[in-house]
Amino acid sequence: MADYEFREYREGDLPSLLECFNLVFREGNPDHVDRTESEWDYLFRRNPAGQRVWLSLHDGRVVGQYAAMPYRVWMAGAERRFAQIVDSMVHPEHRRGLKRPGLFVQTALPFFDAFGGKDRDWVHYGWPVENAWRIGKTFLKYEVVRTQTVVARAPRADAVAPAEVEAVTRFDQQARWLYDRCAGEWGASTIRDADFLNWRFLDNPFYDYTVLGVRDAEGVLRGYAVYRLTDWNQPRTGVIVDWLVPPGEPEVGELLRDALDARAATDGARMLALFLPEWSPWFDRFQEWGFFVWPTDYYMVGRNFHPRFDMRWLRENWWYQLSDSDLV
Amino acid sequence: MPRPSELPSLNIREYEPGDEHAILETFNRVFSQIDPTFQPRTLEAWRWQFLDNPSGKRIYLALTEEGQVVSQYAGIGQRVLLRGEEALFSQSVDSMTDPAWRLVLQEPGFFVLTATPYGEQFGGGGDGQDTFMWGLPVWSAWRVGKTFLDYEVLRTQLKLATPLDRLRLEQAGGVEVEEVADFPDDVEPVGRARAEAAGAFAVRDRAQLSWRFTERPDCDYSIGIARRAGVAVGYAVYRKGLFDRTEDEGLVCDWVVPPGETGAHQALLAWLRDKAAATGAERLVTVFPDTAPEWHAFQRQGFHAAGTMYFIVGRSWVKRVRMRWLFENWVYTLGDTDLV
Repeated sequence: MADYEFREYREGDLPSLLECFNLVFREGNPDHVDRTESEWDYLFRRNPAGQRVWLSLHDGRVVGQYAAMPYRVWMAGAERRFAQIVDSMVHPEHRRGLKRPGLFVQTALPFFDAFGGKDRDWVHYGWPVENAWRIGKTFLKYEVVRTQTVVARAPRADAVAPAEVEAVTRFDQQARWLYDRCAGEWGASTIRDADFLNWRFLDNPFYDYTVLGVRDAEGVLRGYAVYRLTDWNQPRTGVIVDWLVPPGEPEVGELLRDALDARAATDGARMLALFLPEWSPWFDRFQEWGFFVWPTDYYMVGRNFHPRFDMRWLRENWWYQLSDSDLV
Repeated sequence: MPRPSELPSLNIREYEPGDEHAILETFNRVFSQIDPTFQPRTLEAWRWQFLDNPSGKRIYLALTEEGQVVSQYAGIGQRVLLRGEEALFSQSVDSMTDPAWRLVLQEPGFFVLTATPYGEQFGGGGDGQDTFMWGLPVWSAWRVGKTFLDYEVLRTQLKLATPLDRLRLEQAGGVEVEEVADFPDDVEPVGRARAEAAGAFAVRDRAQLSWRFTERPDCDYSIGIARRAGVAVGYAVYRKGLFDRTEDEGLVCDWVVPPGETGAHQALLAWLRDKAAATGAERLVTVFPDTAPEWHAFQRQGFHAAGTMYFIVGRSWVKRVRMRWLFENWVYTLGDTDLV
């Protein structure tokens, strides 16, 4: 332990951090594209919800990281923070540097002390695959929120994009109005306002997203869907990354559905897919539209730092979408 | 019952014949206090559930010197074909601690004191031991189980449901359904054929099926056998009842149709629809793993997935049988549980 320093990220760590990151994620991944300083800047400096980066260093060089993407969440009548764990890593030469529980866990434990708590992040979460899940369960107190399903079907080949649906190129204050109309039914949800949505989708340096919106006669946003063609889960999947429509306005949903079908068909997508909590009226509505519910390889897992809001509460009350992840 | 003032001498041991009277005395008292709809369990029903099961019973008790049951950890045995070989699973059920005794011990409490030797005796890779123990716990039991007993979540369980008029049925291709009072011998190859296509599947021989559905003293089930040219090619079991806090559901309690038997699939769904209509149920409801082909096939016929209050937890006692493997390969129906 004496050889390692564990602490929060500081200015000046970035070159070493990126060197370690690119080394680790290049391993066994020929498609890896090295992360740049400006991309890191987007993810960790410009996130409107803040920064969560904890490092382990050896001889002044970064050799491990436990990090998260925080989200501003409306819950129990106030703004809270949740954080999705991302980009956790240990330099290959340091994976045996400590006896069990290893450098990975030793880096993570002070992260929880620093960022988890009733006055800090209320929930840390993620979608680990099996191996990462086993470590998280054994050493980091993660538990299953749900075995993650995906709602999906092939796009309708005959779909025509309705004239009422427009491309949204920038979110403004209307996004928050729309969110507030939806969020009353949810116990917890990431606040979908202009700051978050523009950062998450329209200023994103990694991917191009298509935002489709429906407005009323006065030009007020009534609903939107964010779409991207990916190879996530299955090749050529048209992912509905974010869906925000009041459940009491199915006609808005139908317009967006038709526009998504048309776009996905044009893209040659084999599937349209999204995450939906099973308690949401949209879960059943999408099935009425011919979508099926499929299993995935993911466990949706979390760790709560407020005892009242345990995994069962989260499963039954937390509205999250693929936009709350870094999966797509 | 007054709470004991100090920790008395307790005997923690496996069930012995005659214990059922004391078990039921505590069981009926404990569960009537927490469930207003609870119907006391009869001795006949208890004997059916534990003593008569062809796959066996597992019961550990904590008893006072006077023979009063303070705590129980119990399981319903389940013979399974696991990767084509016979093995044992068990569903943990009826775990309880008399509330009057709960505060006598600090954590981990009597529940864990009975569960731990239970696991040591009945869980493992040896002859007669359970490869996998699983259950559908209430939240309080889950909190103890994950903390002290190495339980893990296997799946947050969804159900499949359809109003009768949403069912999309196709031609049954010469398959007809015969309703029978008990399972005929030729139902056994049907279960074996379905098991061959699953990584793990509970044995459905005649003894097991008769015990589960026709000999149960407190529930009546309807059994439909799908036959093509007189040969059994699938079967389903139906009952109207309570499931997931909803009364009068048309429950598909068991469904065994080997892959490719599409005619049996259609004929049995039509039979289930007619049974539901005849018994006044407004919809059909069932459960499969979302990794099983039945999950998708039922959706194609009009069933929608919906959340339930249930989540399956368990502990594998054999390293080569990982939880993720079970998630992907263990096929079960409602009839594998004690929910219906």
